[in-house]
Amino acid sequence: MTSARQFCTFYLDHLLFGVESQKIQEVVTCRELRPVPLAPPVVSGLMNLRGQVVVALELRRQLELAERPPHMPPVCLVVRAASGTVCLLADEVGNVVEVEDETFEPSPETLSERLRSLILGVHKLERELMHVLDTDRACEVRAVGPGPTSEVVS
Amino acid sequence: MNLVFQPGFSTAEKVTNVSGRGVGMDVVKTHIEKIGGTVDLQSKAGQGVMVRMKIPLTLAIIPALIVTSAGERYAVPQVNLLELVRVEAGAERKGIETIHGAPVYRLRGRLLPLVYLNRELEAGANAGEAANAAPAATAAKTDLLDFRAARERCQAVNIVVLEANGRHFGLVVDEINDTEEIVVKPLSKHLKHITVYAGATIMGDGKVALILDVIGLAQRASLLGEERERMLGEEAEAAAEGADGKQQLVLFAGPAGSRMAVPLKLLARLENIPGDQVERSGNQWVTQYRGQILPLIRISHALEERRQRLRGDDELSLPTTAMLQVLVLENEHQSFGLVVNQILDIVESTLQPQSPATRAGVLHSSVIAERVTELLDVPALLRSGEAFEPAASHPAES
Repeated sequence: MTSARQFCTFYLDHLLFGVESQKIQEVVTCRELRPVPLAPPVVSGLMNLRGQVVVALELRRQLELAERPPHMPPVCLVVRAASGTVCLLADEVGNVVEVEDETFEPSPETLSERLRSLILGVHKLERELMHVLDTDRACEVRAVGPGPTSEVVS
Repeated sequence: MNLVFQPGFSTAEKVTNVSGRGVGMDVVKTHIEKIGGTVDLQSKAGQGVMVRMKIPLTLAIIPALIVTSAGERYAVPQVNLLELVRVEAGAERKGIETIHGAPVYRLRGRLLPLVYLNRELEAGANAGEAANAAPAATAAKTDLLDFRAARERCQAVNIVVLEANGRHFGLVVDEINDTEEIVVKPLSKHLKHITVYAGATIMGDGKVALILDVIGLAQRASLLGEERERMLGEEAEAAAEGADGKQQLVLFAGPAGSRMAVPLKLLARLENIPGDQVERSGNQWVTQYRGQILPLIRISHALEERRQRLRGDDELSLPTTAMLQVLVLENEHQSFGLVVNQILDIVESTLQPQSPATRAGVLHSSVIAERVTELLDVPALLRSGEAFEPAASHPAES
């Protein structure tokens, strides 16, 4: 059985990422986010998704990428993860692509351990590499100690 | 007509992966019925459709006070709310003072510790709230901070007087908006560990507001630290006694017909435990209680003096009475049951030491309900409870 899988792609800092389209509930334009003081840095805020309060996580921060420039409004990928419905903020959505398992390769060991736990591997597409995100992991927030981590303070 | 609620009912000409599959109205109906509501449709050709939805109000709705801090709204549950105080700019100097830097407000002659919501939440905000972390926003924020600090100095101060675990404190907010009935929405797992929030809610304008957990907030402001808590306990005790000089006491028959009392609030429960449910572990009585092993200590053993006399006597024999009356005492580490001869009554009485204690484990004696009654020193018992179980097992080993 050649298993073709569908991925919903999106861009983060010019890198192409993919999430299994099954996990995506919807893609919405980003509404107003209610910031949550004291929350871990990846938590961008809370969003009102048709009466449901959904937490929005900044994928750029989750993946240790550069901060999104202020003039670039993020898009929200609403994802059904193990920890409930979560909104992931990305730069831009791409297409839904179908890939074969053969094109998959796991992340190289040179990637930091934390990133390797988030990025399962890449699919070699014709023109670029699509990073496959572990949705459940990406929707988790690392437990922060009493003192907030200061990695993103610029 | 209600066919449209059937799953898979579709009039679409084209069915794709995502649309025209005839689930929309089915989803509507399922969701409404899940929360106990109904949905009904009426339609007249050429005139339109009427959809009637009934949704119950039994969701978790609480009355809350909406306050603004740093431009964001927060909801404070009314249950914790005592009063609102506004200190006008001019009078501020008179009202708000500091104790070694800790702000307090003199409210009717008593000092009320103040907690600034802005500061409490900003402590972690540098990293946490940098959410909208565009540098520009950060810069704007610092401006805002300065501005706010300046305003804190010269403007009127809104104090929301709150109660957390019996302790009062004043929460200083930028603005007090209104009271509203809000629907409590749980926070996702990601934010559960932040004890300052009890949940979130969606305001009338569709924006999300956070619900403050007053106890969590007080803990964060270290108002309810461990030491404070102990003080608080004593304070509350003093207050309870001081207010009308009375507290509730459980009277019970102590050994040899004496009368003893213990403050009701120190007890976790009163239990009747059938004699045949008492088992022996080592040479201690235990019973299975709520899935745990509860050590039982007879009151006569708990009091040092008697213990010596009775040791060896009935130390090992199981209880003979059909029913044991047990006062369940608890501290953080463990709970144990104090077996008493008979629980007599619960009375409200003043506690005035009228003669000093004659034995360990007793605070003092006083006259309660016209009889001389010994007041049990529960904290001491709880302390010794840990120590004296092993001690009790020594004689058996030798």
